Amino acid sequence: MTSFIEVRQAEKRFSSSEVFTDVSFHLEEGDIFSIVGPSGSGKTTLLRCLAGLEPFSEGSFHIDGEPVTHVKANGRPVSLVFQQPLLFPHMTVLENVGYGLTFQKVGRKERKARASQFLQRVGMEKYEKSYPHELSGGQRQRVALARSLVLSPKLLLLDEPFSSLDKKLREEMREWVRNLLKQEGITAIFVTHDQEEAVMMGDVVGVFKGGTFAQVGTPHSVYEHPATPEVAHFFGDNWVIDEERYIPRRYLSLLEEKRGNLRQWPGVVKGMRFLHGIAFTEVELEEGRTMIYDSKGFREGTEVFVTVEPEHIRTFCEKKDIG
Amino acid sequence: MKKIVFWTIVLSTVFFPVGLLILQSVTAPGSWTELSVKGWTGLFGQRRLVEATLTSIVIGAFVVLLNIVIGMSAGKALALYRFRGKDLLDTLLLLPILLPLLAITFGVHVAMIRIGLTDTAAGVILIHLVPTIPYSIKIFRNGYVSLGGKILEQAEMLGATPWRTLVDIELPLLRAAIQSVLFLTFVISLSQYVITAIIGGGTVVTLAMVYFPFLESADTSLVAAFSLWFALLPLLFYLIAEGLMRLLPYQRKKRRRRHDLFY
Repeated sequence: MTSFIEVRQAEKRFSSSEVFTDVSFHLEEGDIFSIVGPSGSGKTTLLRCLAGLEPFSEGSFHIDGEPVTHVKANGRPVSLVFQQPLLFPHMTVLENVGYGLTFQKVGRKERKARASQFLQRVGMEKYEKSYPHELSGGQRQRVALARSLVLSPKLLLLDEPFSSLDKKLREEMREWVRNLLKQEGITAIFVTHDQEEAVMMGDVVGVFKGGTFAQVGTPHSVYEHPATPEVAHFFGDNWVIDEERYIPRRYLSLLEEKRGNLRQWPGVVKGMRFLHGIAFTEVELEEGRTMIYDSKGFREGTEVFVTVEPEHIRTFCEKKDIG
Repeated sequence: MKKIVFWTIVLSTVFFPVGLLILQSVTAPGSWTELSVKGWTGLFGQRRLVEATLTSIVIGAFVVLLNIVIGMSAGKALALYRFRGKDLLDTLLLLPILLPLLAITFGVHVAMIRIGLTDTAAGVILIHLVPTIPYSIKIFRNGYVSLGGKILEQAEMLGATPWRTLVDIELPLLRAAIQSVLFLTFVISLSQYVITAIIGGGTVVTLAMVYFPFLESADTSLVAAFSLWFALLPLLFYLIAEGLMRLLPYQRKKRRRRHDLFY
């Protein structure tokens, strides 16, 4: 049985350079797939290819059993919400939301009713007659989302849609958008460079590095069992010892002296950092710098041992948990 | 204080010369007080005035239209697409205003004789493109740069065809650029005397060809009336074109309702 969304062996090249290669995944209806990766990893190009704004160089793409690999962007049952809201400045909010429906042969009254209905769902019904410049950044992004959702796309693509918002608003929007997508049963692919955002938004997370998926799985499985050192570095909170082993940071502690039954690495304290109100000590080791949760408050320059119970040292699982 | 300076500059550089011209056209030559309509009667008594005015408007309209079509296409390509030789093309497109227009016209003249375009309005329209197209491309290029390619992709993602994107998004949002091109190219086309005479060969008579010989006339009232008539044409053309642009979809003024989505 085929899945609702199916991408097989997708590849994209620009003249001689390869942007991504060997990209395969499948999603069921209503799934939200977070693609997370550093800047320049090719994730936005992948999204543009899925949207139809760029052609794939190789591979196939099926939606609900229909091949769409060679269908143009304006003919695909796919909507894309860009980083910027990109509302049409000469149209009112209602006209913006209703614009896409004009191409679906929907009657005027029906168009207006559906646009109003979706504005209500995103809490923007009061602004029907406003122009985009009269709205705040968060409001514009809500309207942009309503404009995409009103078309009832089979697949919704979101390209870092909260990156232009401030931190507080971004956190509010994440939760709100996820709830909305789940309520509407929308299948969505969400691209971000923020690990926290990827975990919060996605049912499935794909870590995209060097133009391919380094690992795909549930947020919990990728977080707890990274497949490669790159995934462990980028996604999750781990100290990578070498190419084969890592330790989740929560099991690390600092001691001033050696203890026989523990694995210990000598290092020097370089300073303190605060994250979400928790104190971390930055330690310089032979293997590089790392942050250790520690509230003892070692002074800079103190010689310490990074310590762990041997059973917490893990090895990379070395498998791609696709889909 | 700023307002005073602004109005002083506007009055002295715009209204004062125009006011003088109007005054001169309704007074006798050499006198600022003796009222006379001879300038205007002399103007309308010109045998070929109406014909030359209409020819100028038609030629100007085609020049504007071609400038908009070519300028938008080339400006869009230069602003939004990536291709090899873009910088070279950008420079080449500027050449017509860097080289002397007469040199180009003499060169083109020979080619036009061969293909039978001399002494025709089509030939004159083509030669008027030479001093106008580079400006149009520059203006539209800047317009598309500030518009950005993403908003056009957004329209495409919502299902718009290239034609609907042009009508619903590009034309309304590039309105300021279109207005600039429209006014600038019409005025340039209207003012061409030598190249029109060479390519039109005296068969295609534009307003400039009727007007220029009068510049040596001692009848200052007639020249003033002619100058005002000459200046009125672009304004009239601008108003007509502005009215047509109001018919574009999603305009905020009164007429927009006709093309509104929901009304």
